[in-house]
Amino acid sequence: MTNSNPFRDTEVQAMVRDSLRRLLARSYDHAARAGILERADGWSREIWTELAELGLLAMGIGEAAGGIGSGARDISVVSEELGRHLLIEPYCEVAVVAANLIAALEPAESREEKVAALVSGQTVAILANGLDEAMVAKRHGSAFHLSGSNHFIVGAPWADELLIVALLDGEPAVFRVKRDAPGVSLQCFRTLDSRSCAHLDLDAELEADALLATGERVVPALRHAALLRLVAHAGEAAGIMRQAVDATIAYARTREQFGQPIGRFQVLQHRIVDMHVAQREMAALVDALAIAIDSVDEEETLRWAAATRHRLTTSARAVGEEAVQIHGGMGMSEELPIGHQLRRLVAIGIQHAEAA
Amino acid sequence: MLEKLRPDLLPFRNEVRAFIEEYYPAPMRVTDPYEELDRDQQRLWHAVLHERGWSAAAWPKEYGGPGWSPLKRHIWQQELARANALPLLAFSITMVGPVIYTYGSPEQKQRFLPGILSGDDWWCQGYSEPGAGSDLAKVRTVAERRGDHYVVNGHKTWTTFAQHADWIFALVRTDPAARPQAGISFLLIDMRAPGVTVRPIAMIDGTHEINDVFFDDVVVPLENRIGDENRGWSYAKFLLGNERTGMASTPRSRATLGRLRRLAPAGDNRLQDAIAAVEYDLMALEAVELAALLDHEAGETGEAGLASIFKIRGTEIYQRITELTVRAVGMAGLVNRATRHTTLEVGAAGAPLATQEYLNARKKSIYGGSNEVQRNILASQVLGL
Repeated sequence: MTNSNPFRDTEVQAMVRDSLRRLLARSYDHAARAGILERADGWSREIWTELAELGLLAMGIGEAAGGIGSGARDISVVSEELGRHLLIEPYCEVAVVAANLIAALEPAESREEKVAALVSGQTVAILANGLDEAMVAKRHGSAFHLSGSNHFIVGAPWADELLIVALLDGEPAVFRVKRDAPGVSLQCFRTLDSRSCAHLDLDAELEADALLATGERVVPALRHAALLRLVAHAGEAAGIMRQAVDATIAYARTREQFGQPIGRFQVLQHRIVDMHVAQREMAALVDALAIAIDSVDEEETLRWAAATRHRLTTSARAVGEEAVQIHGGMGMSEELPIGHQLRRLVAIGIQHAEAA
Repeated sequence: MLEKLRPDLLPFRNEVRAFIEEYYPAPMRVTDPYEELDRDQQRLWHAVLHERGWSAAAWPKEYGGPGWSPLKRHIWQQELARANALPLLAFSITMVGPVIYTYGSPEQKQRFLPGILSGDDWWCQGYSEPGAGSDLAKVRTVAERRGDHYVVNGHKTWTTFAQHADWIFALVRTDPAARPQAGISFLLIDMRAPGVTVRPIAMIDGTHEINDVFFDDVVVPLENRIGDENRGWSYAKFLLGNERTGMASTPRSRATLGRLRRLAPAGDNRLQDAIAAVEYDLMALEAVELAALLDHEAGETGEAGLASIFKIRGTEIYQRITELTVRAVGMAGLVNRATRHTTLEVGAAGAPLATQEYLNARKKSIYGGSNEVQRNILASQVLGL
């Protein structure tokens, strides 16, 4: 056994962090992001391509499947840095969820090519639903007919293809559907955290090659993708929280009221300390979850996943709220990232709310 | 998770677990050890561990420690908590021992360390005074130098188990003219010296745990001063840092949470939700701690401010578990420590002391540098506020 600490970055992870920081500092400040949000399609193909060229979209996929990643912790490292800049682009949805699903389910002969299409930024694929919202697939000779609907599919308007979970002969199956195919109807809108999102109505005839996989591999692959999605969102939340804490510290040191910087007030100092502690705990939880996925077992993974989800819906949001409070009116304005950070933290929490 | 990440440590865990099971003294397995056991009975376990060479888990080998790595020490703490073993006296092993082997003279090491290792000497801590709590630098107990000795006069308070103690390590003012931190010395004082008086303080949980200690012209030889005169503050700060390292106390919280789960009615959904929430909080702290332990194991110092984070969160979480335990035991929580033997045996094992433990645990956010002081430290030293 080595002494290396899996909670700390490997050399590769440190390099990735560094190159992401440089890229995003250069081309994704708050003003640039605001410009991207004003575009009709609400995202930046350019930054997506740059991320792909740096290899970052391949970090969440193992080498055997055509990626360059070494596991879930790579995903948390990338996500944390993206969170610091509130990246709008669908890293989690495409490079984590869809890419891992395809890596797990695509037949061996076409796997590398299909994964490469995603991680090179050429194709955008989005998973449209989960097992709980499975659609219906019927065989028509060698072809299929798919029907059903699902709501709140983040990133769907940006997709070239949708991955659909449907029951085929009573078994879970995954299909691939072109976004602009006949019978695919998307009702598009923006979410509270500025993502492009859609409701989907599907009533489509599909060729035989639309079936990606069926059988016993499907459920474990979906489960694994869901866990990686949690890692990506929680890592992103940890990054957002860090940025919110740092911005709040900087603001409290310069903003003067009652003749002194508000950071001199002990009540605010203690609240900022609690934000800092919550951030350290969130970051450690994500790491523990990623380590459990990468190198421990299912039992540990589920324990850490439960704790992580709980914190996403409680302390993560609380840090966003405190950042708004301590920034005062400025925290309520669109001008600063603070309000955007809170909205994203709330949106992540909503997507991981525990079942009652 | 540690046991699965580092299966190479499993033999060590099994070894210490088996040792505790076999050798933890039967007379110490009582419901309320601090009240039911006398001074010598409380030290039985220490004597067993001393014989095995494990009484000072964190000490370097050259001073009589077992030479365990940080992970092994943590596993040791986990196993002690799991077995509900009475902790060894922290004032001796965790606090004054490291000060003596770090700053003491060769003669002091030779004289004091053996009694600490064996548990024969019982130490207490003379820090707080009526006018110096969180603001410890305000100590007013005076040590006046007269030839080859000091004459000590003053009043220490909140002194845990002073009634049992052979020795007290005390912060005393040796230079009244210097700024507060600069005029303090660190003295080792014999509790049996003429002029030392101990007066019990009755506390909210019905225990006699703490005391006032009065010094009235107590003569203390110069050779009982640790390090330099007027440098006591830096030794005290070292000790406080040392005190906090284990303060996440996640093993104890884990064990206490396990008992809470056994006591909590399965059908009480609101309580079960609250228990789940505190377990998630504990896991978040355990994750931070595990990362730090693995850093220490690899010889890294780790990030700044962790000791304060451990103190704050560790005590908050432990207190929360004791609050929920009171809720879990229902009416049995009304039982008073002093009269519990006269009442019916109510509920499961441990239930009749739930409220006393909850009350006792309020001290945790106060001692060792209050949680408010810890937040001040984090704000100024880590966040730059």
